[in-house]
Amino acid sequence: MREGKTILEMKKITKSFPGVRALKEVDLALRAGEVHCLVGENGAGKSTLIKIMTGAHTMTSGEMLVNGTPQVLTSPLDGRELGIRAIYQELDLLPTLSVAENIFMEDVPKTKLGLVDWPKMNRKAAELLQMFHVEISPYSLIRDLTVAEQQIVAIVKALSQDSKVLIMDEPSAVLTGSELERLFGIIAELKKQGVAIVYITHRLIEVFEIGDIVTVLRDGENIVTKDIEDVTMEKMIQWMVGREIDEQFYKEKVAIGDVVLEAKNLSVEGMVKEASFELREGEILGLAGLVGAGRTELLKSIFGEYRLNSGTLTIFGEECRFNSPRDAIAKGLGFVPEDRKTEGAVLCRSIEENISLGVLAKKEFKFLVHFPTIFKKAVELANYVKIRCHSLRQEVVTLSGGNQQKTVLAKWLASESQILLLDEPTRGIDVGSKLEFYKFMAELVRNGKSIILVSSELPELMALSDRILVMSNSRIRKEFRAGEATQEQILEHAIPQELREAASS
Amino acid sequence: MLQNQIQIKHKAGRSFSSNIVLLLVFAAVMLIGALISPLFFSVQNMRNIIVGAATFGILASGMTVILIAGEIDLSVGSQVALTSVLMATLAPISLTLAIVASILATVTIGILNGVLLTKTKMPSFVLTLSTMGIVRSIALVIGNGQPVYGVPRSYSNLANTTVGGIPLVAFLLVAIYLFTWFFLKYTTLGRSIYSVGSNSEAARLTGINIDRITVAAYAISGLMAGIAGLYYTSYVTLGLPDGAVDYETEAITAAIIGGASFFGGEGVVTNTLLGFLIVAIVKNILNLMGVSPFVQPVAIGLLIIIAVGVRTMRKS
Repeated sequence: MREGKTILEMKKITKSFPGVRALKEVDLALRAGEVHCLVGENGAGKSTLIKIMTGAHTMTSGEMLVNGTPQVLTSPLDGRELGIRAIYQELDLLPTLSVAENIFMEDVPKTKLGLVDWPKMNRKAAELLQMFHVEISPYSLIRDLTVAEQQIVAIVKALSQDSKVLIMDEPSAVLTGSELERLFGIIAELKKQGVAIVYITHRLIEVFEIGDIVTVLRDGENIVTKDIEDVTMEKMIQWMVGREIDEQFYKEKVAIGDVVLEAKNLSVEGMVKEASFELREGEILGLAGLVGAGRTELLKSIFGEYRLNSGTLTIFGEECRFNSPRDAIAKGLGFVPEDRKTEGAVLCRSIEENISLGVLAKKEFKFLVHFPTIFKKAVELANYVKIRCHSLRQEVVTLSGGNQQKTVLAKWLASESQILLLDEPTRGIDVGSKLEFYKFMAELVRNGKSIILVSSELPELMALSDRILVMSNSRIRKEFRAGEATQEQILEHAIPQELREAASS
Repeated sequence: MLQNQIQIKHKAGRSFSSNIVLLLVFAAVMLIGALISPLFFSVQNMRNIIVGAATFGILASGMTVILIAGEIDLSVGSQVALTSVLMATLAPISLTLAIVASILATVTIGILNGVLLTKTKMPSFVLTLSTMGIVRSIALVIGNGQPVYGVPRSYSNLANTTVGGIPLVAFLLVAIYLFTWFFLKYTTLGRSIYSVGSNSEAARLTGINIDRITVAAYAISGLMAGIAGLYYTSYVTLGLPDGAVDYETEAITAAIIGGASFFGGEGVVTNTLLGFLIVAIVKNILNLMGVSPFVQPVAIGLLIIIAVGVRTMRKS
């Protein structure tokens, strides 16, 4: 396998952000005509690594060689000059312009007079699209395309520019069956042309389908780099989650009370299929699964964000049909969303205003609002959840991730939520704040609240949960009690059946 | 191959249909005009429409460029007033000097708008709201708050001059719209303005200097305001420091009826031309009907709500 010429070599790459070391002395070599898969849990350092490759981040220390010459990249433009390109999930396309114009954004075909040569641009774009057997018109506007089609345009755009290194950041997160097959066809074609490909994915099965080499990152370190022939699915998972469960978690024994929430056959079209489970007072119920398994969707359908197609939801003994989150909040539910920056907190407003939001929404039919009372409560809660700040008048955007998350949580406490739905609450939070957050969760359940916790960090989920439900393909597949299952067992149920079969064959 | 062609046709059909809607509205407005008054289709009335509305017609082409860049320029009406005052003040010395000074002034204001915007990163609405007041004030100070006489007869006659029965300014409008259309469609700078307005971060990562593009868009807006001011001076035959009030709103109206988007990256100047004609004709019809000028803005307001509302509803 390893006959290709080394195009890009990274030596002892370290990247520190304030307070966090994202990468520790990572070595990586990319060879021509090779698909190098990069796997690891969320926060393992994959995206930091590829951002250093493209020049979007600068490394703190280490060395990067391109074709044997040391290079220092200070912007993505530098990377592009060297033929290093990345296709991110957040696409850098121009939504109001045509497919052709997007493909040739960086190198517009021009006439002798230096004017835009539209016929040539559209023709060349059509040729490129045809070459990859893509049925997208060069005249279509980007915003009229589906996300998958947009992703394909982004790929075609990157390919039109003679790339030496092509980085694909989880393309399978948006592509479906036949589109993915087509992408694999394109990748095979590129390999023949001698392009070095970095392929990031959470669907581990793909590693075996198209990878030549796999590198596993964990906690910012390169755990292993191996030829794909020498790797099995089980080993790869072990390497990914390998860390020991130790005192980095905090869990108290709490008396579990009566059922507070009961779901029976909840279904939301295309998102959740026949989910049945119950949640008890003082319980932390973990939801495990891969990205896209339907965990967030399940939380959102309980919270009234998605309308149920069928099934019943009983909360505190009363059957509920929520038409909107407002109904759910009124019944004592609170939701801490995955993306606190866009869905959880109002970043440009103060801490006290954020905490008071839930109360305001509840009081909306009272004509006048007495702010001093509300803010007084906010102060109490902020002290209670220990938000670290200079003043409660401070804008939330100035807080660290952990403190932003506490603000969101305090909002639900202010509105007296009894059942808290937490979606990846510790993502992107440093280890110290995480521990504080765990202690706080313990305190909440001790006080009789109940929590449904979604987390992609299995050790965390296993340490905190009283029970764990494993989801895949929109369904709940398995229930484990605390301490009953190993990570491997959980992952086994989290990986969809058809993928497992494909892997073993 | 065949399938590809079919798809191309299908997709082209989409933008075509929104053009059709615009043309239909235009035809409908013309038809209403014809039904309301026999005078509507007279040569004289057609001339009146063009001659009376040309100033904001010119502004609308510059405004389209600004809207495509994702910004707005509220200062253009004040710039027209300043130009007329400068023309009336300087023309007695030298007409050439007056014209050169006016255009220089408005292009400079445009560049200043752009530079201030890109340096401070403040919203363009707020910035140009401020410069709108400042420029207006300069015009009032120079003109001492009074109309300024001094525009030569030969110059003020230009607005009424016709060639082969067609007013001179109609040719000017066609030339300006052709120029802007060509500039936006075929030059790199023109396409860069679309890119910046569509997704400035993506444009920046492509290597486009987005600040420079924004400044260029405002310079063009200033240039158009200067040309509009030159025509306005001839049309009103004097310098009016308190003239051309609300012209920026009319320019914006024409551009958005023509399909330009407030969110940037979108807009075609030929459609702005149609939008301009629709607004001009509706105003003319209201005049022919003897509708009070106090009530006329209601009609324009409704027109915007219908034109833009239909479009945004179709999109969602």
